[in-house]
Amino acid sequence: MSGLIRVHRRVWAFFTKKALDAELAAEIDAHLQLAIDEYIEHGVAPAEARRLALVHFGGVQQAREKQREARGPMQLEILAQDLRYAVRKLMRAPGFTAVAVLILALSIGGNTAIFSFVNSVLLKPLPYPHPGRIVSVWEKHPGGFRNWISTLNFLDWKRENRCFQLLSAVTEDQMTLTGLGSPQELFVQKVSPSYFKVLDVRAALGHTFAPGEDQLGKDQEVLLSNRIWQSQFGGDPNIIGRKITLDAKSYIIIGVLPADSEFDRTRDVMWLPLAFRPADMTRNYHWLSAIARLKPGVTLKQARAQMDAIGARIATAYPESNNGWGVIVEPLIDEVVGTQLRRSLWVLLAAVGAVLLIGCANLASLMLARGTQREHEIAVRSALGARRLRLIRQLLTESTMLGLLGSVAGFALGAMLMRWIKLWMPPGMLPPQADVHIDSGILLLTLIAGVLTGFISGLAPAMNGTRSMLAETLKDGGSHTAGQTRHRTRTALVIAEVALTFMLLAGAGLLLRSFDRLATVNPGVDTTNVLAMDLPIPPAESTDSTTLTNYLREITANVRSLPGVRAAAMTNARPIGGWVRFMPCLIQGWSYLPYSQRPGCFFKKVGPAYFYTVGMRLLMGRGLAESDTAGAPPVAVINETMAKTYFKGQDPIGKHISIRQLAPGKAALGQEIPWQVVGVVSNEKIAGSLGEDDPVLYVTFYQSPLARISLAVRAAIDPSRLTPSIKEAIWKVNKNQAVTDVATLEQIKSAAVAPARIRTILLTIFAAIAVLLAAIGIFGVLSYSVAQRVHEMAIRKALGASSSGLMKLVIGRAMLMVLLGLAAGAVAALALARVLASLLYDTSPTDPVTWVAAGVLLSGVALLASYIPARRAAKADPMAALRHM
Amino acid sequence: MGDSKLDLLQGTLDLMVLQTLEAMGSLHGYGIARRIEQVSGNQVLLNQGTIYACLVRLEQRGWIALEWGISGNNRKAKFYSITRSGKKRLAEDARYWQRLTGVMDRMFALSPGPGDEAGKV
Repeated sequence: MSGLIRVHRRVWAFFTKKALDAELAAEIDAHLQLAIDEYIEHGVAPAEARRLALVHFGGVQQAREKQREARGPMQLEILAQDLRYAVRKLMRAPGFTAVAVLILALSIGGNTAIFSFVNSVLLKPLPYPHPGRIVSVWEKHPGGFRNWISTLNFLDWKRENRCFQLLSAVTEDQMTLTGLGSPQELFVQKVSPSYFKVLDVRAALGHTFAPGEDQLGKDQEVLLSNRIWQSQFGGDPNIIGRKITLDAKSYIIIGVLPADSEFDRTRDVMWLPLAFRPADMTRNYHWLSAIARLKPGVTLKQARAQMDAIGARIATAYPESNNGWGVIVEPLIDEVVGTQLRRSLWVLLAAVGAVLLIGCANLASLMLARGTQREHEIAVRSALGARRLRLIRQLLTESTMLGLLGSVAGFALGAMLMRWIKLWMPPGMLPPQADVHIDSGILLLTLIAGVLTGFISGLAPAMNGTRSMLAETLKDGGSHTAGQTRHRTRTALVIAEVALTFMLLAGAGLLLRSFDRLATVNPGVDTTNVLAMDLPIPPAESTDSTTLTNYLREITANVRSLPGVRAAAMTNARPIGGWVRFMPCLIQGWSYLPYSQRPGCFFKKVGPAYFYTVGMRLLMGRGLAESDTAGAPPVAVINETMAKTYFKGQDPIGKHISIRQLAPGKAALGQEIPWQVVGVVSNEKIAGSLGEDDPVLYVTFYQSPLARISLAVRAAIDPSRLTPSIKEAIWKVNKNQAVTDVATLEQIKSAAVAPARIRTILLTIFAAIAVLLAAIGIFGVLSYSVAQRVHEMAIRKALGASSSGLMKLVIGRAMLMVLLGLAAGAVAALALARVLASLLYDTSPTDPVTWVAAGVLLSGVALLASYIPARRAAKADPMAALRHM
Repeated sequence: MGDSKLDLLQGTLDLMVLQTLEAMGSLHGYGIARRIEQVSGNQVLLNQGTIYACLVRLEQRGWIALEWGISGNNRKAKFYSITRSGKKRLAEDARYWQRLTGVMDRMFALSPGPGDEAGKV
């Protein structure tokens, strides 16, 4: 206990220094006086008495120091002293301080920004309690990929599993809200009642679904997100119990979710209980996704094993629909954060890490240079008795303080950069569950990064700067050994910087090339002057296919007749971006395959004018015609890829392809239709993927009724100018028709490449910063080298060397450094090339053009950076040098 | 003065100060230093100033207490006195010293003499 008291008093002594010093001074004064008095009593003269008293006392200053040492922690004293000194030194060299802080800010800022993304997207993206226990469950297609789930399979899983505490199905839909102003199309998720329990999310008002509400008749309930409660219902405090009309049926609102959740981030959404109707009880129509919470104590591996067994049992019992199918169980996080996003973030983090290293090297180099200027100061202090450790400590305090300043500046820069990225980030690139913000953890991390950078950068200069031999330094010549080591270290640092910069530059170059290829990929449609929009139709109104077909025909005709419109056509998926179903098909002439094993194709239902509207070419046979109506023989047009894949070498025209019919609003498959191929068209990109071309089959929507409806319009002029008149034309047929998501094909295509775009921009920015820092580094080292060799340069000149010869000497040295750096960088980068590969489109990570270009660019920058020092060398005055000898 | 004075370890000076205060009651810094000089017969090398580092250490540990007072010849000075825990510490240390000196005496009595049998083994 007394130990604690003592510590407390010692710390307190640090803060009451002045008072305690004054007291001691008074006490010593009194002591001396008493001694003098005693001497005087013994008959000594006053002056002599004073002298004797002082001698006897010993060194006053030393006594004071000893007392101070004894009473308070010297460490705090020393630290305070060092800090004050550091601040003074830094303020006296504003140029150096400014450059150092700038270097740090640039290096650290990028890290702060990217790390805030990594933190919220990769490290803790799921805001639910125990997120590791939540999994997503899928059916596994024989091809190995994830597939939606069919009703009966889901129910079997639910009944038979022993590994999930809760299992919930999810499907999406659109419903029309009426009775509240004009009719609204609302996005709805239908979920099993246990859905929110799986996520462990509670309602803020009212309650979430209760078990048993997935029975028909008990499912007329609605749960609102906070956002939709505010936007559609004005935040009505009496919302619970209120009745609304959706799709002409009455529903009662039972709850509202809390604010500021991931459900509010993208759009307005409501939830209804998912009740299966008798018509939905099918096994071969896949329309559900599912999430589940693992039972306590059950591992993912065990759950997978169990579900595999259940999947195998279903496959054996129902081979027609499920032979070869299995079950996939994955952590929810993997679904929420895709591989592309994950890898992009890691690459960007590595990039900013490299920038930080470069900044560190630059700072160290800068401080080594400064060390030369401080040789005198250090020599004097060491002559006055300062020990080496003490000097090192003080130098480190200075560099750490610099690091702290840099990290504060870097934090501010990083916060701005993060905000800018968020602004420019395409919607949908980040999962809604990721809440990107800067919290205290990131601030702390930034400060630590800065302090560490300052400390590490200052280590070599501190050790080196205090090594100098006293006598040599005080002489005019300066110390050569220490100078040489310093110079060698700086050169090594610059080579390392060049290596890292080369890697970043090449990486950015690869991404740029890849993005260029991606952006100019041929989408298969003519994107000039084509507009697309969605026409959501409530399922109630789409059950009668004849009425629907006539309705859509009328709209198409109306729009087509507008001045400025060249063509218009309906489609079930907008070009490039729209979602299309993949249907199993059986080709004429093949041996019978059970449904579960059939290969598939994308199934598009379009108006006959579709190909002309979007600019696809007819390659063989004929396109679709107005005469291909409901009563006529079912005909189809296939795309080039489908012809190549399924009809190798044969003529596809006239062959039949059997595909089961889809009925809107029913979770079931209709009968098999033998579509006859009448033509082949060129490929268009499907489903937002600008990658490989897939097989696609087109039929008229007269012969296969539409559920989702989009309208494509080709115009003679900029189509966005026609939007109002197009809407008018539609509303002339039905004034309540909702028209949503109007966009030109150019915009859709741009949105498809947006993630790649932002990734490329960011990496390019970081590469640019790295190049700037490397240039500064090269410039610094060369300037120093030239300054040290001024004598040598002058002598060379005196001996007949030309100015250009001297310049070549300096530039030659610079290029040697760069070449070594490029070589080192190339070796390292080849090893890491594979990491970048998955982010590149149609570009090899070892693409020689990019690498050579990066090398040339960097060499060019180095050349520029070495120009001024080279000129200085060339200008060396032989007379001045000789005078100094 | 001829003879070199004894260098003092930090701990022994502490002990001397405590003992002085125990014996003499309340004293100021100068008085303590003079007293130690006198008792040791001027054998202790004492830069009088070093006593203040010692006093602040003892005071922080709570073994001595201080208060301001007036000295003999009307000077204002800090007076130190030993506390109860200081007395306890002094007693412990004194015991230790006595044991130590006893052992050391016996050790130094082990010098080889003419009639010592220990040499022949």
